[in-house]
Amino acid sequence: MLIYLQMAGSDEDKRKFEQLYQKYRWLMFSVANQILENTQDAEDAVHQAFLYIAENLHKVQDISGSKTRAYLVIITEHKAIDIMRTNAAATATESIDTLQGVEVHPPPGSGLAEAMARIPAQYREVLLLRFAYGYSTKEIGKLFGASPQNVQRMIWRAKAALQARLEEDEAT
Amino acid sequence: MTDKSAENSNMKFSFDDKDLWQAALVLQEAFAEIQPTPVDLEHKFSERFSEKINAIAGRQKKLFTARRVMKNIAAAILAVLIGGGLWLGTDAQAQAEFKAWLRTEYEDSILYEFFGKREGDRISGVDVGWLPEGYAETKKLIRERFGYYLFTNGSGEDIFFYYTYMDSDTALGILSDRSPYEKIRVNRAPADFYMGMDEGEGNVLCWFDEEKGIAFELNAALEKQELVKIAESVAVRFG
Repeated sequence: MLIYLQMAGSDEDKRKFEQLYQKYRWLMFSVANQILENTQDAEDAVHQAFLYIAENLHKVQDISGSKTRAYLVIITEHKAIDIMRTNAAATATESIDTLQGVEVHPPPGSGLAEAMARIPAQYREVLLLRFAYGYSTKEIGKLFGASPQNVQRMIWRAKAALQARLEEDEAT
Repeated sequence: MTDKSAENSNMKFSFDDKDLWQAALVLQEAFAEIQPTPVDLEHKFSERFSEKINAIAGRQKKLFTARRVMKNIAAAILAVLIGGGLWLGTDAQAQAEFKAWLRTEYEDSILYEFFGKREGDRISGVDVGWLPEGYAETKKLIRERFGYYLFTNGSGEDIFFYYTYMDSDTALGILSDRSPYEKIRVNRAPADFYMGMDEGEGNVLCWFDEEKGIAFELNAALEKQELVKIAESVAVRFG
């Protein structure tokens, strides 16, 4: 017995994807290149990011809005770090869990946001996707290749990293 | 930030989900202010990159037809019919020059896409010269650019066989969570073998007759050697 399933990408999705590509590819490349410092790897990261975006176009509402711009940066950063993790595994070098992502500067005096900007990238991404974008643990898990239970643990680790960052900031 | 929960009572700084939400929104705005560097703005994307982006863009307008073969073949296969040409006018020249096939890994599928127009005789059918004992043809569908056969044995186990023209109007897909694959040969044709990762999931063998412009796929709970033996016995009829 065969089951037939149809999934058709709409013209609206196609237009949305095209606009995102035309508008943000250099920004995304720049973010990836900042992390990977290699143009070919950076292009791979941008490609991976667009693959992800193409499958999650429903997350994008206003093409030109700051929320969308930030979203593309976050996804690109994540994919760039994925590639760095793969490269690091191949060369058996440093741990990636402590890796800092793209440099970002929230307004001075914004407290928790400033601390959040300086925790390891994967924790920062988890918190942003969870709280700024309303991602479920399942959705985050799909991006990170982790179970919802593991994502929940990542959220707790992210909160602990945030706590440590705040304490360190106060001490200095 | 104040002490807002018993959970946080041992922590020097306490914050709850509302604080995190507010901080995340502030940080989101900061992310939105990131600008590409002037050097990166001058970056000329490679042809390889453009091809891969074209493939994604093309995927946005495709009609996917997925077939899930029941019982022992839990792995599903996608047959893809593309509604038209690919997108991105700026890369049209690169697209026109790219006469090949491209394998792309997506989150939950592998997609083989073909570029250029197949030239050659029309396929009228396919003969499978060898099958494991007990299997017989139970279903068949032949269309102008693709076709499939289903072979079933007395235990209800299936062998699914699919072929398609390799040109811009078609593609071949496998639903898979990026399981590792092995590059092998079927006769002299390049082939990829995918081992089913879950219990009950079939193994998949894809091979590509570049000379005749035909892609083939077998999906069954059979060993690699058996799939290769079936594949090597396939003869295409034209006319």
